[in-house]
Amino acid sequence: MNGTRHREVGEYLRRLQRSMKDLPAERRDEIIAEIEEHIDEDLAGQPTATDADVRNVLERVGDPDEIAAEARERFGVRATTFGTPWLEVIALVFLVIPFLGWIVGMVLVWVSQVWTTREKVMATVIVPGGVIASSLLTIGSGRGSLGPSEAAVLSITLFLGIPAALYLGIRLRAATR
Amino acid sequence: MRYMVAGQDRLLTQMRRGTLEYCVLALLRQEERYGFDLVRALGSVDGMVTSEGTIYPLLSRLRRDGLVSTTWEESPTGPPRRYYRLTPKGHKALGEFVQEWQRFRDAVDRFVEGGER
Repeated sequence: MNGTRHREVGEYLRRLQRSMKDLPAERRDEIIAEIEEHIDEDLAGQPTATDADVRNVLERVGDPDEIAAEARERFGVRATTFGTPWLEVIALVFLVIPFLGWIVGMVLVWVSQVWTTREKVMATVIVPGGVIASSLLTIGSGRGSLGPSEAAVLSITLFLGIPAALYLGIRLRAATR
Repeated sequence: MRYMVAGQDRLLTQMRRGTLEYCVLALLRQEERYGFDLVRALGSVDGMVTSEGTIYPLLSRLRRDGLVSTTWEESPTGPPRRYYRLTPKGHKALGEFVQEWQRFRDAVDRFVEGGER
């Protein structure tokens, strides 16, 4: 514009840039450029704008986080977490402990907003799925009581929490990068 | 205490989000418009948009899907403006939506406006 852009506008655009930094660069730049044009257009219509007027314009444009959330929704990008995702790490530790630990881990996994529902379902069915499959095998073998080998298979399946945790860990890294 | 069906807020948000794109297409049916003008037209109707900035991600999406296209045009007052226009694909999508929407709206109205007539 005429080189006298208001300081608050520059500040606003930088906040917007930060809020959208996890979006594809091409989309992000396009959206920011258009919002910048929008603000310029609005201010061009009020040449005697005071600081309060400028703030008003920015308020109407809206909260950068809200715009970024809308962009994620429109482009199917999931929200990224910055820093260490403690809840998720603790969930993974619990998951590898059979029985009670696994249950606690699963609750934490479902509480987390980082994994997608699909990933949560995948991770949840691994352990019960393994136990059911090995039980069926044991019953299918035709003997009424558990032999030592069947018991071994059954107890190994209880540690299927480990691959479940591995799977979620890999997805977690992808989501927090 | 407000009485609401579970998830009502979310439903209203989703309904608004889902129909907003067709409102944008409808605004472009007769004439091309530049972003600011488009946003102002949407914002002037109560309950349509929460903030002006949230419309730009939608415009970007519509362009990527080939429903609208943009061209730069000189402005009589300031810098050049980016004008949006409907593509043939956009016209088609809007036409289909309008038909379905009218049926849907009439069906819902029939129940919520005090029973069958």
